[in-house]
Formats: sequence, structure tokens, C-alpha cells
Amino acid sequence: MRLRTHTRSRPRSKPAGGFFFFAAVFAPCTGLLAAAAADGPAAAPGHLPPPRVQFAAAVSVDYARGLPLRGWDNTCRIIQATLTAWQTGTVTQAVVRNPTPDGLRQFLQNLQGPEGGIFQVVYLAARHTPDGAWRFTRSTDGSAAWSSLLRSPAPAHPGRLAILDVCHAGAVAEQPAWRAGLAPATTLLASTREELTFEFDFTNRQPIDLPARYPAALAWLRQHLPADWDGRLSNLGLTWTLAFLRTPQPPQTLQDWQAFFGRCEAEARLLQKALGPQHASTVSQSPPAP
Amino acid sequence: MCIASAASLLAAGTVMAQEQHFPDLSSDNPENLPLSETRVGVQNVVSLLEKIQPAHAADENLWFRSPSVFSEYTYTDTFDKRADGFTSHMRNGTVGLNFLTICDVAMSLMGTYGGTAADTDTPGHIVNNADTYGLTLSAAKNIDWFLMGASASYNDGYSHTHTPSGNIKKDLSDGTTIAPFVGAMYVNGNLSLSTVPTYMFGWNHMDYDSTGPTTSDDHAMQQTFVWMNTASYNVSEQVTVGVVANWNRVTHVKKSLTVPPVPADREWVTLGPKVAYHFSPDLSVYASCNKDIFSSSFRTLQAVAGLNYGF
Repeated sequence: MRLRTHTRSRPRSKPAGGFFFFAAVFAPCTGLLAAAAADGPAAAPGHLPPPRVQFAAAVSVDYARGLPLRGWDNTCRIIQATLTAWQTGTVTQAVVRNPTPDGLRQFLQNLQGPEGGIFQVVYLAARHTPDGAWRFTRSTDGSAAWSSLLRSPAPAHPGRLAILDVCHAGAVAEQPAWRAGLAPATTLLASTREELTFEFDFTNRQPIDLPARYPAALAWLRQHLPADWDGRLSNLGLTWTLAFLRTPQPPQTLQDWQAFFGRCEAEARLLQKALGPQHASTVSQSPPAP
Repeated sequence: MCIASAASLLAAGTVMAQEQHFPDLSSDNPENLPLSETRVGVQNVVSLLEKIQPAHAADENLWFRSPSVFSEYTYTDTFDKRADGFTSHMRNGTVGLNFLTICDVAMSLMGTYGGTAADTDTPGHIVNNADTYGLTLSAAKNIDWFLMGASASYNDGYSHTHTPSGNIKKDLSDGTTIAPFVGAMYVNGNLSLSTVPTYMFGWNHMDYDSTGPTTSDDHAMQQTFVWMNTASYNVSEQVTVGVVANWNRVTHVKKSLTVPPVPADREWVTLGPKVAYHFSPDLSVYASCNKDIFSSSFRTLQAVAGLNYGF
């Protein structure tokens, strides 16, 4: 998490330290202010400018039955790390692990509007049914359709960027409840309506030798993730990382974000070409980039 | 040794018992078709469980996923070191389908053809040729590292036995094998380990060529404990190497009613390396070579080659 701060100067009756003091202290502050003004809407007097990117995530990891979604848990951290590395002034609003149905509804309803950040990246990952319902970790909670989860819509945000890292993600983007309830400016989908999505493991050479094919990605992830990273990440997490490494400048506008998502699509296509559709899913954005 | 050949060898043993007062040497042969089918079926489902993807929910709509077809050829050469024992050459061809179904249950369905040629080395030796067709269904489910399942086989075959007197006996046989198992598996990066104790219950029915004084129908039962252990390591994106070590013990035998039993091996170990080459994530070929060790009655070598294609 990286918070941008600035210092307001006070008029002084007598310069203290002369020109060098002014140059050392005040000039950077005015520079920061100018940069903040150039980046987004002008801050109201006495208020900090909103961070450029706000991050929020809900990930179901520890299922009562079946393997835990460790790769998706790691992908959440990877996206956070890339946003931080871009120095976008990312603020994490909330990261909810293993939400209950009510907890996920509350998470969605509590998403902030534009006051929280110019852009809002919302990462959502879980097991997902073919008809587009979120499976919860506790077997007694079962699954819930997005129409139920978004019965009370999230506050509108023109810069909301949703990332749906689930199987059959394409089934969700077409749902009216998704469009009206979350209303993202664009959604990055980890799979099509028919597809399953996959986990990759940098510690396993099969089905694809990731360390040999993507040494730069491995080096970056080792450097920026906690030491307990187990080498796993989701299909979308891998394509996000590869696209990030090809994007040195952070996206500044919605068009930039759409272009970045387009790079994720391209990386996913290459991965799918190398592995086949049985081992890699189609990453796409909805609506398609203009 | 397949059920049919076992039956035919029982028949051969009967003939020997009748004609030369030799004991039965047949069904003691450790490497038979039900054992081979059970091993392949169990190894297939365990291998499938080791590759389950975590995000693929055990969903009610996912009855059929991660399918793959395979074909396998096995050649087994068995030399019976006992006097008047049968030396046999068994060739098995197997085709099968592996897939995951609801609740992440791994399934393997396969059909097997086994052809056996066996003869004794004694003067006026007995020659036996047998053909057997088998169907095997295996299923397994894991909860974390613990796994359990069962394999069931049905085999049907016939055999021709040329006796020293010049007679040709044509015998039919069929058999059922049920093999429940529990076990453990461990996957960490490139390394996969599994250990699966299996208990096989086999029932055979023989319908002998009813010439002579023997009864035309006979039954036999055998129970075998097989402890299958495999280890594999991904050397690269293309190559996987592994080793198989199975401990086998025949725990209970109810022989043919018409043929007296003889002492034979009751336990032995099957050991061998395995290597697989992956042309792509979906297409691989593999080969292995196994040898039975600690066997005082038999000397067995086995070569296996196979192809696996996921779709």
C-alpha cells in the first residue's frame, strides 16, 4: 500500500535559511502538488487528493471440499504488487478472503464511488458454476447467483475495473445484474462462458516449464511477493504479470487500461496457443476494447 | 497370465494330472491378466487425481472433464523354474478412456485383449494358447492426500491345449475381479508420490472340454494383496521419469476342485523404471520395464509401451 502525502506551506514573516532552504523543502512540495493536479481532479483546499487507483478484492480460497485456490489468492497479491510497482498511488480498500454470501454482498455494496480513487480495481475470484454463480467455501453456504449478490447495487464508479478470475466468467459479463449492479467500465474475464480456467505452478515443469519460458516473470514475482509465495498463480495472474512486464508506464486513462487488458488478452492467446485449450483459458475484456 | 490361460493351464494341469499324474502348476503364475488390469486401472485413476485443477469445482454439470484416451501394449515373459512348469509369453493390448466426473471422482474404463502362448519344457510337452478379452472399470476419489476407490474387471476367454497324447482340448473360462483400495498421494512441484494398498478378490469359472472323466465345470478363487507404489519426477517440460515398486502377496487360494495344488510363490515384488515423453501437454508416450524379484518359482520380465492423448 502506498499513500501519497503532501505538505502545505505556511507563510513566514522571515525566510529561514534563505534560498537553499526554500529549494530543498518547498520546491518538492509544490512539485507534488502540481503533479497531483495534473494527474486528476484538483483537490479541494484542505483535503488530500484521491489516490489514483483503489484496490478491492474478494477471494474464496479455503474450500471445505477440494483443493484450496492458492493460485488465485496469490494472484490477488500479484495484482496488488503490480499496482504498487506502477506507483499509481494505490490504496487497498478491502481484501476479503473466504466471504460468506452476506459478507460478499456487503463487500460489493461497500465499494466506494469515485471519491475513493480515479480508478477502482476490483478482483473477484472463486469457484464458479457454469450458469454463473459464486461457490462459497463453506459447503452449507452453497452458491449464489450474481443477481442475488448484487440485489443492492454497488455505488456507481465510472472508473471501476472488474477482474473476474473464475471459470465460466463469460456467463457473468452478459448478465444484466452484473452490468447494472456492479456497472464496471470494463471487465477482465478469465474464461469464456464455456471454459474452465486453470492454475499454474512455477515449481512444476509440466504442463509448461514456466521458469524456463518466463524467467523475467519469475524473477519479478520472487522479488515482489512475500517469501512464502509457493509458485502458484492463476491463468489470469500469469497473463497479467506478463502484460505488466511489457507495460512500464502505468495506465493513466480508461483507454490505457483497456489497452493493458488487451495485452493480457494477447498474452493469454499465446499461452493458449502453446498449451491448448485444455490447459489454458481465454482471457478477454467486456465490453471489447474500442 | 490371463484368466483364460489360467483356466487352460488348469485344464492342462488336469490333463497332466490325468495323463502323467503331474500336479497343477497353472494358476500359481503371479503375472496374470486381472492383476495387470487392476494395476493399470488403479495407476490411471491415481495419476488423474494428481492432476486435478483446484478451480474446477465438483459441479453437478461437470460429469465429464479432463478426458484422455490411451493405448498400451504389454509383453510379459514368464519362465517357471519349477519342474514341468509352463514358460509363457503374454501379449496384452489395452485401450481405455480416463476422465473426471462429478465430485472429482477419477474414472478409467478400459478394454483389454490378452494372448498367451505357454508350453512345458518336458519331453512331450504340453502347449497351450489362450485368448482373453477383458473389461475394467476403475474409480477413485481423494480427500487431500488420502484416496480410496475400487477397480472391477470381467474377463472372458478360451484356450486350446495340445496334450502329449495328441489331443486338443478347447476350454472356456470367465472371471470377475473386484479390487477395493485405499492409499495416499503426495504432489509437490515436479515430484509425485503415491502408495496404494489394494486387495483383489478374483473368482474364476472354467468350462472344460468334457472329454475324459473330469467334470466339465469348475471354479477357483484367489485373493491377492497388491501394494502399489509409484514415484515420478518431471525432469523437463517433455520428460518424466519414475519408478514402480509393487509388493504382491497371494493371501488365499481356493483351487480347482479337480486339480491338486502345488507349492508356489506366495509373495514377490515387481520393480521397474518408467519414462514418459510429452510431445505436448495433451500427447505423450511412455515406456516401462518391470522385473519380478524375490520370486523362487518364476522369472518374469515385462515391457510396457503406451500412448496417452488428452482432448
